[in-house]
Amino acid sequence: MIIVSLVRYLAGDVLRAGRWVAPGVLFLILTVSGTAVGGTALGGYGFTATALLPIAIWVTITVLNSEDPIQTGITTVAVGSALTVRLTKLAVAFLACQFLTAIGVLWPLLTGHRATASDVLAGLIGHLLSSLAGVAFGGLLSRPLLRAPAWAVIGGIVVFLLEILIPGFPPVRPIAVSFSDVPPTSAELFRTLGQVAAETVIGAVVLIGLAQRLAQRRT
Amino acid sequence: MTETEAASLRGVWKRYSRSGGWVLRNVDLVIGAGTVHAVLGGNGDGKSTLLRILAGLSSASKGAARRPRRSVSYVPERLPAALRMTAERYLLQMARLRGPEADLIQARSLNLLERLQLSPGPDVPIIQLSKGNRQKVSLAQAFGFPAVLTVLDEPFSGLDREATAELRAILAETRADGRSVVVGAHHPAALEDADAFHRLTVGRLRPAPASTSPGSLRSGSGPVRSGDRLARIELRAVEATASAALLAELPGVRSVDDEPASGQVVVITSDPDGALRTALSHGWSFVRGDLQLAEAEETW
Repeated sequence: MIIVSLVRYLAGDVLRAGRWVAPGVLFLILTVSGTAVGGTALGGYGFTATALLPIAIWVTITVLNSEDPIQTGITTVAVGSALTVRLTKLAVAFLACQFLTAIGVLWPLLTGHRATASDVLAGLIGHLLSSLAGVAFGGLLSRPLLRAPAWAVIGGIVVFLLEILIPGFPPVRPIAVSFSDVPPTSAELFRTLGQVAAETVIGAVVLIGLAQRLAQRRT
Repeated sequence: MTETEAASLRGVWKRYSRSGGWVLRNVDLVIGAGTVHAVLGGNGDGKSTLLRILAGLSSASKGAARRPRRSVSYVPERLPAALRMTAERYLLQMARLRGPEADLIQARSLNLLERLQLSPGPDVPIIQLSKGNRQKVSLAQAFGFPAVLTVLDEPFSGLDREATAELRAILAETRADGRSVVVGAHHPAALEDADAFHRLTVGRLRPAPASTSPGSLRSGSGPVRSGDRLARIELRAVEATASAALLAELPGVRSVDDEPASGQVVVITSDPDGALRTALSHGWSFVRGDLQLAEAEETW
């Protein structure tokens, strides 16, 4: 009950601030333009899942930095746990990213791209993993760890470049490769996705735990 | 923590980085149930850090801090100006974070806003409220929930005379309910009723001398006039004739905080010229002063 109230309060605060508009619109533009040339839906999903990573970082920083730090103190005392408040903010960011996941997965279908049920399922998993990684990295690039927006932008760009340039770096590079225009068989695709999912979830838990530990030290 | 103890700090040290200096040094503080404690200190003495540790917002680097986990209320030094909702909505949101009795807590908070005379009203966005009125919202948020421990950082800041009197009444009611309050303040104005005074100086907490209580030291010059400005003057005794009691009797002097260890006193007065003239001719030496401390009306 308290968690539901906390989610409603935090989500309301983010919505009222309006800072979600820019990353939301940018992802919409990237989705429309990146899937405009036709081809398979799976190829489009490779592009939109990759694009979702930096957007998810941006959304997460927006959510975590939305509440004034002084008000965060009041919220934390009312809830009784800084960990609960921080994890709930990350959950709100992840939920917000799933609106973008819906756009990324549905848009190619609505615009006539060829897709099987397993393509759509793979696309959905790819977007979920990309947004989870974005939320985990975003937690490291926001208050109270990084207060200056300029460092957060630089950090986000560095993370994105590492993700797309280092072979095998989960999740976006292996997802983009396995979703590329010469599709593997479904069995191969989901085997790769399963491995990427395990690596991404473990990595996200480590990053979120690290950010929480560092945040505790800063307060 | 015992049944008669609402919170405690034992041997608490605090620094924000390994290379940074200590903000708190070996602080011991026991808050008994149903008591009001005043923690006095200047800017940078570690007052807000101590209050944040008591509220559970910061952890001690060394030592033990104990507090009721889910029954604490907190008023920061200022409520953020840019809260994007009305006071009424804000109080409901904060009440919902307390659990199932949100409606009751919000009703209590709105009642407190009425007592504190929020102007223009609870249906106005917080961003449009003055500093003093935001402080009233913050206080209503904190006292609407019957917390075992309430932590207030400069709660009188920006409040007018009527709201100050009402807050003192709320503090008395809270104590009568068996709940505890810790108040951080620059000086003891408006805290005559506190059960204990503590002085925080560069991170070290000591029981403040009885003379800290302004009630026992208030001069016979009558009530403070609206618009009087208070000055803070630090003096050091340089001759045996130097007497803190003499300073306390001077017109305009509101409090004299005696620090025997350093041989210094801190005088809060609305007549700094008169206090300095007398002090310098009676064995005191001027150390430093802040002649624009606050509007007397705001602090008393």
